[in-house]
Amino acid sequence: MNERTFLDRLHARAQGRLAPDERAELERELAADPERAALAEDYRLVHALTAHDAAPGPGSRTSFEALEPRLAERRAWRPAAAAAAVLLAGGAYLAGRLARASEPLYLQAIELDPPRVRMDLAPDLPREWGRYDPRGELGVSFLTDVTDAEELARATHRPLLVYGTYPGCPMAAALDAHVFKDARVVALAERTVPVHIDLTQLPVAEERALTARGYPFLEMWDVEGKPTHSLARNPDAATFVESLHDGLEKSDAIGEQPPWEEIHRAVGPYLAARGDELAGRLVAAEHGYRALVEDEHTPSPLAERAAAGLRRLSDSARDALFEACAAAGDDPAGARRVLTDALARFAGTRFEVDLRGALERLEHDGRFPALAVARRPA
Amino acid sequence: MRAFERPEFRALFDEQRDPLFRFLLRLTRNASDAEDLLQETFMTVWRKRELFEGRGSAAGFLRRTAYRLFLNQSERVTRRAALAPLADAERRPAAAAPAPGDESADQEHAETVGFLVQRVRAAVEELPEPARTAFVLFRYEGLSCAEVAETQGAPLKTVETRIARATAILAEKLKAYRDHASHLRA
Repeated sequence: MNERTFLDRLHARAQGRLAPDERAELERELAADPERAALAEDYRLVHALTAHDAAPGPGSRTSFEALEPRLAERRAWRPAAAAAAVLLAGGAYLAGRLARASEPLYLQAIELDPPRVRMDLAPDLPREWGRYDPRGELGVSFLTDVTDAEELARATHRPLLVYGTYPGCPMAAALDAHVFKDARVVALAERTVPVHIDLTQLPVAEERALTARGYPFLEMWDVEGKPTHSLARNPDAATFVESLHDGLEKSDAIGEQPPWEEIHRAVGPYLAARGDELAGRLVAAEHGYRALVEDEHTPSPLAERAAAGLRRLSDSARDALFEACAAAGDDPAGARRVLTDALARFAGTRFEVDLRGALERLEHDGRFPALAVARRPA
Repeated sequence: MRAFERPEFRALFDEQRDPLFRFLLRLTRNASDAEDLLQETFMTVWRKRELFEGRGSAAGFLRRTAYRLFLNQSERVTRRAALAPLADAERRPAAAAPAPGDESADQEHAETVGFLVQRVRAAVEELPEPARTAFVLFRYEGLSCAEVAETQGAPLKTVETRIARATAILAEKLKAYRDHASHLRA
């Protein structure tokens, strides 16, 4: 059931859920197989066009109470099973105890369902994100690490402005002096994530592949690293502004583009919450993440990461439940120890109540309860 | 995991009711039919709960049951000729829609998200079965190819072919809207 097909990988890529190495492998496959490449191109288009319609629809109006009488009718077919259940329960005390033990523990905070938030986003952000702005005091401010730039581009829904040069190149110097210091260019660069590549640092094959597309290397890429536009290379700001406009038009940037100032404002609290999480200060981490999620002004890239942070906390508490559940059969004392330790870690968080409930049920019923998620507000 | 008893069944109902309803709504394209099938699915699962012995997820068991009931119903009842959309009120008359590539005065209208959604939805509705269902489960319900195969009771390769075919048909029909795709990603 876990076999991941080519289409599954295309789907994951379209959702931005492919790891960089998986993406690279997929790209190699596509480059080697035109038929698959054509399907990939078709799927990219179809995925984009169907994205709006993928939102959850309305819920059902059927209630369990409406369904229950019909279940009772059917249950009459099974008198033998019902009688057997009563016999199995034995005396009244045991029956009551078993009845309670068969009831699930309804979890109030811990999640059991698959995450509804993206869990593939890197949780650790570069500290530079708290102050980086393409609009530098001396002109366009270029990042120098393509991987970081791609991550930032994804997070801020901006295309990459990729500028590759050789050190000491006079053509690059002219561009730096006349184009990347121009106020109009700097203003437009705000809508991109500019990254500079020192071509001498690349493997020869890659260097040749890039420079074969023009030198100085100046392209716009989408967040998956796919070229979307070749930019003007002559050192004339007006021409470059026009070319950059065209590139932005063609760019595949999606969703809101949060202002850099908002990114800066949210990165600090996010990094603090992440630091609390790593240090085991889970109350502070939960509080920090939740504040970001609930603040409507939090830019979506940070809100998504904060939501993933909350889910990680929930998953950690869930794992303690599962570990205790696995131990409960053979080693009840061990199971209690797991839950007690988890309670100490999660004391004061919303997850505490679920862990305490499991421990109480384990101690009272002598076995670990079945788990179910209580109905919660959407 | 063993077959579920009533409290677990209640929990399963609470957890899976809405996802299953949306799943059935995608299949039937009709809220009333989806409600009926939803109830029938839970009734069937309750009756046959001994068959569920924890192989795979309870959600998968529900989905397979629902899909089989949907197919049974489809065989009994002549499918609606018009293939009613998810929300009738949202659908615009097809006559109002300009043809792809038409750059007449309707172009501005054609660039609205609502219009594009309707075009895309209509194209999906027109896909041949069972490719449509495979595509819908894969794209809208977020099932993997293997899960679609399990739900449809078909070999994995067959399901891949169905989804690839649906994708090719949709891409061909919708290629005129390539430049508008970004409008639909918001």
